[in-house]
Amino acid sequence: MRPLSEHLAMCASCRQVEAAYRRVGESLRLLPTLTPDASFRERVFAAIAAERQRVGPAAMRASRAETEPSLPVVRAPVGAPRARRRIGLMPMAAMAAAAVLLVSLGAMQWISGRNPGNLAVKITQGTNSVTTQSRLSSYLPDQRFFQVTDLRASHDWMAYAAGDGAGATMLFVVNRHTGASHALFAAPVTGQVRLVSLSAQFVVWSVSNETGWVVSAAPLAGAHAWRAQPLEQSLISTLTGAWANDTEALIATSAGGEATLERMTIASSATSSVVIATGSHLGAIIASPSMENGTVYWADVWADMQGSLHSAIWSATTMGASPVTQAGGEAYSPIAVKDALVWINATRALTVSAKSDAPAILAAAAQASGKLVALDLNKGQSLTLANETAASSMHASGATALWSAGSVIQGYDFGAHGPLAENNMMTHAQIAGATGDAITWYDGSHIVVYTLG
Amino acid sequence: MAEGAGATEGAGAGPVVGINDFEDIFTRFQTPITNFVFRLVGNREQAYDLAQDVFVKAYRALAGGATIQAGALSSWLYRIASNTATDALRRKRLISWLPLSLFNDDRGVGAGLPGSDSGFGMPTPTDEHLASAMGAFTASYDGGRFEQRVADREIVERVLKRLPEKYAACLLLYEHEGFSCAEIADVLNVTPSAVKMRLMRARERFISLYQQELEGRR
Repeated sequence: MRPLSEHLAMCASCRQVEAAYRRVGESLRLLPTLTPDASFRERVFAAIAAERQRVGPAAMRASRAETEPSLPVVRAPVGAPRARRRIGLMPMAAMAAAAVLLVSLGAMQWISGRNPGNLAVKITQGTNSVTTQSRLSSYLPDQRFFQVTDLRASHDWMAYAAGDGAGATMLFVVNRHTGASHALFAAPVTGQVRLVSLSAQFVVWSVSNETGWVVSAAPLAGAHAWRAQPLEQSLISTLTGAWANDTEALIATSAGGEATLERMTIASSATSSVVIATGSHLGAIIASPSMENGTVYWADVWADMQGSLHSAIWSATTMGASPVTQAGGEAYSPIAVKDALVWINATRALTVSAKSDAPAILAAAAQASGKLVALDLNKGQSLTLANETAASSMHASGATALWSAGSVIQGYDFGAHGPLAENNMMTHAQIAGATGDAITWYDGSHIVVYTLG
Repeated sequence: MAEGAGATEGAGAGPVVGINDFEDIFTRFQTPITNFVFRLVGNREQAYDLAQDVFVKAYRALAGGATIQAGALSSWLYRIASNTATDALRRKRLISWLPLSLFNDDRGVGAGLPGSDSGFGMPTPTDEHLASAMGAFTASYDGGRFEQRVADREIVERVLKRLPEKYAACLLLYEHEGFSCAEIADVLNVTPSAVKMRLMRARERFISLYQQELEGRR
């Protein structure tokens, strides 16, 4: 008996994975088959004859890229129908790991999606809203989950992720008009919870832990309010970046040294995702995706032979992709905001020991620090916002960029083309977030929301 | 001679095929190549058009003097087919980038927004989403009902259309054409380990999309 068979005989989880994978193949083989008739032969040879007549035999040469014949020898001939190879080629270790992770990520989904009807009426007692000025509101975080790790607000909603100090995290959305707080997970999760976006209609977030990751969206109102819908999830790849607005999401992943950036719609299952970029070389990751005026931006981060990290910013439209900064440069963590692009020009070299390990590269890139610059996308002029800040402290959305200078959070308003008028209010802020509607910060005890004009 | 009637011995490199073998090549590969393209693009007429392009390109290359090792003929043709279909799909999808806001209200980006009676627009999420998706694939088909089989095929066709091209090509070459990972690596010009990774991701995505399609029908 082969090792895989032995394992399958003992492991129900792996049998389930194997059965699911086998069903994929069987379902593909159910598809109808076309049988070209004589007319197909006639039209092909007619096309060839027309081509020969048009360009002449000497010019009958296709582009090398399309028909490059110098393929290596293929060992197995294709003459006879082959035995179907299915799960047998899946590495044993990956198989066992996938089964374990499936159970775990399945639980993660169960946590975020179970019984949404009950969640909608759950009100956290510890949360209230105190309006101190017409534009300023203050909220107490949940009594158990009080260590706020991420937050932002819109006109109608305030969302925050918070830990209990013992490794469990919860995601809350607060109705700013009623003060009602909705827990988006039926039970706390372990791992990193990040808010990807908060718009008038949706909240989008990611959960990552050692078992895998999932990016989910939930509508904030309507019949399906609070129902979490996974946009994308994986047990084997690394989530290297996520961004969303109220209609679309960008999700960057890396697996097997191959990086991919996909663009997808949030609100509809009728539209398919589109791969808009893949890694330019083995081991590179696509990080910090964002979009402004239909142009997608991201960082292409990779390690050279010496393990030194490099990052270049790229942009893509329907016309194709092009570099924004020089290849081999040190431009990290781009974020597109209203008519501008901000990023960190790293002033200290970053290194990584595992040169093609996506999590290691991602972690190293998060340590980037240096000059915070902004590029006016209309005028092409650049501006230095801060001489020294860390990429991990940067946040930008709408027309606002936020960063930490020393221990103080600062901001810039790209609408008014100047420092944020609210900078002096954030003197005790520990973390901050922004949307096009509001600036939100946490001072260690309260969540404060300043509603923009 | 491993492949292709009329293949001749090259100078110490095994049998090769050339322009004189084109008739045999076409006869042998017209059905598998046409179906491979059909499953990638999901449209019968476009599949015939693109399959025609594949054979014209192959003819051009051979008429231009290229000779192909007989053992690599299949990979060579599938590479041309994969590139041709992928190019067509990319053109189609790039064009579809722009009019996102023009979708119909009942299916597009505005579907089911708050205040709308049409619901969320996304498939209704389920408890234990992934486990449920797995369940959809571990349950037996109702093989006795023609309507059910047709419905299943329609879902599979839509799922294939929604898969990224590189995953769809990989999955079809492996599951439908019976290629090995090494052979797929030759066709797609990637490493065998990348093929294995793509296969896993393709299956994950396939199962997830299939579940979404099922939910959308309820």
